[in-house]
Amino acid sequence: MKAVHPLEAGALYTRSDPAQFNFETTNDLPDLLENLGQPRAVEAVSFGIGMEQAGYNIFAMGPAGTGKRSLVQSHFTGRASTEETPPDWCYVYNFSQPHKPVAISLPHGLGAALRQDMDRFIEELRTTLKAAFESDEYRARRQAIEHEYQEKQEKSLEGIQQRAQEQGFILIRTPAGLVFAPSRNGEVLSPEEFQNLPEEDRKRLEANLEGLQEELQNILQTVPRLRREFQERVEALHQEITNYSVGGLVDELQRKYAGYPAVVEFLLAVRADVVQSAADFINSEEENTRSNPESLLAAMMTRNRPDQAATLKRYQVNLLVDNQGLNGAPVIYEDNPTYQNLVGRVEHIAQLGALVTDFTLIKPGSLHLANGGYLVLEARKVLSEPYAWEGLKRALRSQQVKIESLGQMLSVISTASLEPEPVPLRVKVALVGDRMLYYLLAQYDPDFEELFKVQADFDEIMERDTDNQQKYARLIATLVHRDHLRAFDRGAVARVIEHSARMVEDAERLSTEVRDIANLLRESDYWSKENGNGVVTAADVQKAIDAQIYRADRLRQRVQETILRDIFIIKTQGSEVGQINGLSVIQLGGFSFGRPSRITAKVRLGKGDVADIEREVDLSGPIHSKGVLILSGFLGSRYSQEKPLALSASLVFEQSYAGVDGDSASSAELYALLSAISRVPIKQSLAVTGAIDQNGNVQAIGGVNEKIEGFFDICNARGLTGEHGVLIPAANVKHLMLRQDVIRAVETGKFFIYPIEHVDQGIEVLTGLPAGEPDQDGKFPPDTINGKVLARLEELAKKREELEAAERRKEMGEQEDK
Amino acid sequence: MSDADLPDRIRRILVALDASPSSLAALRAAADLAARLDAELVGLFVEDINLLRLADLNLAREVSIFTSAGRLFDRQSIEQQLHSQARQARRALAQIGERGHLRWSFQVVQGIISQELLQAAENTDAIVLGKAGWSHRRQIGSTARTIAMLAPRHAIVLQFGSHFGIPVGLVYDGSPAAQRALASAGNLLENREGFLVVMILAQGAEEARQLQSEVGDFVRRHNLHIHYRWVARGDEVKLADLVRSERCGVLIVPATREALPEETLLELLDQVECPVWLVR
Repeated sequence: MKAVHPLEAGALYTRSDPAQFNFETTNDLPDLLENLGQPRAVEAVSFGIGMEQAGYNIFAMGPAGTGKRSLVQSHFTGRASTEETPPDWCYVYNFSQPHKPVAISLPHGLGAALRQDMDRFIEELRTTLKAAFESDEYRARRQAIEHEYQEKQEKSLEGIQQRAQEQGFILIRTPAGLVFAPSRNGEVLSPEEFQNLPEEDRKRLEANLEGLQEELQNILQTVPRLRREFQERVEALHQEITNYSVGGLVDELQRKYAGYPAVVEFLLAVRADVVQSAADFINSEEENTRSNPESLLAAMMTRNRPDQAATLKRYQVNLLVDNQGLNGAPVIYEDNPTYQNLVGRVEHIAQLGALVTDFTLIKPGSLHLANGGYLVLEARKVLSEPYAWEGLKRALRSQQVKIESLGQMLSVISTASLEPEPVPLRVKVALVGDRMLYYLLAQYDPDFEELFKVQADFDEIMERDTDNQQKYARLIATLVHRDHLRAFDRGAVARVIEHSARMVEDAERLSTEVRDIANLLRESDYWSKENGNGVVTAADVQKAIDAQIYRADRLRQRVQETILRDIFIIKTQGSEVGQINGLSVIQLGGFSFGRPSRITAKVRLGKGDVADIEREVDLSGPIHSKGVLILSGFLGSRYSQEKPLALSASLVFEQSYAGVDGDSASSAELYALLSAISRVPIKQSLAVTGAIDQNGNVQAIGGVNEKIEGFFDICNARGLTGEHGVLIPAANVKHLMLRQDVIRAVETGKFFIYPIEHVDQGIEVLTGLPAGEPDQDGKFPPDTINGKVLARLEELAKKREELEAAERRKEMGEQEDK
Repeated sequence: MSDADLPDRIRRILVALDASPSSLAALRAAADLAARLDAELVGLFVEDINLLRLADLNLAREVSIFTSAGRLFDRQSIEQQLHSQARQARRALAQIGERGHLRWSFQVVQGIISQELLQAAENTDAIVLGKAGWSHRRQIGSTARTIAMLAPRHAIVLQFGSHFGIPVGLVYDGSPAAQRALASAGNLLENREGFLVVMILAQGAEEARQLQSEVGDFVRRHNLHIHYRWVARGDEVKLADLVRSERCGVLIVPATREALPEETLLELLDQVECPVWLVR
């Protein structure tokens, strides 16, 4: 077995030598144009952009802060600038089916022109029609029709009035109709005068009255027909005038948009509608001059009539997507991807207490705006907005954007609304999100892999070689330039690189989580205000790191206080049998720290079971339980291959009131157990971390730096004696990026870090006794740990055999008595 | 001539109300005039005695204009209808009067409509009435015709839907009534934008020039914009066409026999679409 030597200070921290950089400050460095440390993601995004077939949308996945969105957007923008600008989209009124507005596509820039032309057309139409309906010709022709109608009406009444007069009656207007009254000299007879008439005259009058009334009824029955005829003639006149007035305006537009059949069709429909709606224009003109509604009823009746403004609104153009001024294809990032913000919406306005809408209230969604280009969305936001994911998938699957309200989509609302014609969709969508979302969608959504065929996996770490450190310096320079920070000198750059390695817990790797690096740069810039150098130095970076830790480490301080005040018992000197200092890591948001835990083991005569008390009370996670079972396997295979173990052992994390998980304490538990069995005490000035396998090999664990620092802080506070130290798996040495105070303590021989490959090495360090190698018969020397363990196990086995024999004899005696 | 010279400045304007659309339009025009002249509005609703008498006869059936159906015509129902109309007329007058901050009064009388209106007109300076009552006929109705011809002083007849506009048309023949008409035009245009179209009615050019010079003196004193048209005596039928071609917003006419024959006046009332203001 290889002897264990504590690590040299140089192995505890991999420095980034400022001398390797040939610049003074980041001002001397150009921006980094490539995406650092993401070759796989870059290739995937480029592939996704290049694939024009449907379904090759991109899911950019990886931890937050790795620059997923900016990488995707910059690639999209680069490609979009070389592509053709997509067409404009307009919605216009559908004259045959008003609830289904028509979508018209026009080359970019022409949409705005059409809208402007139609606004001008409406303005000109207003003035042209006003002039036409005020012209002498129109007045004269209308009056002629009116006069004819009135004369017909008057003539029919004049005839009956004359006959009535001849028969002794006059026709009187009542508030609600007409009535014949017997009269003399133009005055109605009083009842007395009528009664005084000879009976013959009265009867004659009564008979004549019947006939006159009947005749009057017949005449009045013709009035509606006359009125209808009049209306038809007036309408025909209006249409003739309107057709003449509008013809020139429409012809001009038709010539301009001759190359666009959809526009020409719309213009023809407008012309037909203007002629058809002539009555609305003239009514509206008359209304403006005459009407002075004095009652609510009158006001409502006026509103219910289609007014000129409502009629003219139908000729407007709703420019949904205006790509005028856009060079290349659009790249849209939708920050709030609600269902409506994605697929568009039809807005409503309140009118007399009711919600009404029309095609001008159709608003585009980001799918409309990105049509012909690229759309970037945050996957988590899309999935957390009701129905946004369904809406997006439907649009991508059908390759068209159909604007439906959620009420319509869910069929819970059946009120009349608009059904705008769907717009054909050609868009490349990139969803940006963490890996868990990608895997969940891939697992549970059958559409997902069909629609998002390209996964761009962003790595959170990159190799820390010389070339990458140079590039990292340029990345730092780029972020400094972008955020207008003070220049970083090369010492500061080196310190940031070192911290980046610490962030990923690996001296040979660097973090690609640019967001955290950018935060550190900004905070270093803040602390550099007072240094008077005008540049950011390594000391400023260190100050920023320390300040970050200070802001987050309230709980760590409390935990350490409880240990130092002996509330939470951790011994850091002397020796104890069956007791060891394990190490765990507590993660709080973005901050983690190490905490020592006291692990104890007790053994007694038993049947070979190792009881994990944490597991018994359900405070143990599955990985921890697995670790305990592994150490049982190790014990059995090493010391008791031929016969069963005759002991029962119990293991416990003392003063642990929350769950324990992970197998990083399994080596510590094994050491405690070996100590308990062998009755050899363990030095309490040491702490242990490391997982074991069934052969006793010590395996790598996470959070090694925090664990070491956590124990160091306790020992340091109590006073370093030169005996303190931590046993770590040898495989974790490459992850060491320890604090400077730890390194100084190691340099001065006050603190030790032992890289352990096998438990035999560890137990030697912990007890000061040799572990012991087995001889040819598998026996260990008696003065070694293994020898003592074996001896104790044999002693227990013997006791157990004696006990069993006594029991057997007792049972046999009882049977004989019977 | 100045305002002080005008013994017949309009201070009370009578408006005949029967709640018909035509009379309500007349009410709006009367309110407009009252506001311009700072006059009081006097509303009068006449319960037609002929209708009440007829109802008492219990003989006739009323024929609906809209449905042409016949129904019984009794006193109770006609009284209810008349009272309802009177209330409606009063409400309209109150509303307009209050909105225009006008002095106003309202009265309901029973009798023959034309007689009652003429009697009431004796106590006011002008009467404003709709041209055609309940029908929208172009020709003047019988009641309006009687009042227009017999009203003692000013009578203003409105086609349905018309209102006082500009320019102001004036028929001038030099008669005392024409001079009063000229003064009324001056009052109407006082402190307002607009101009006067004076249709000089004369035997020949010399008389026309003289009349024009008379008008000119007045116009200069009142600082009015003016435009002259000459019409030869005997060609009065052309007046209606002239009013139309000049697009007059109101026509002020001297309504005495010496100024215009009765037939010409009736012709003008029938033909002209703008309000016609008869001055005696």
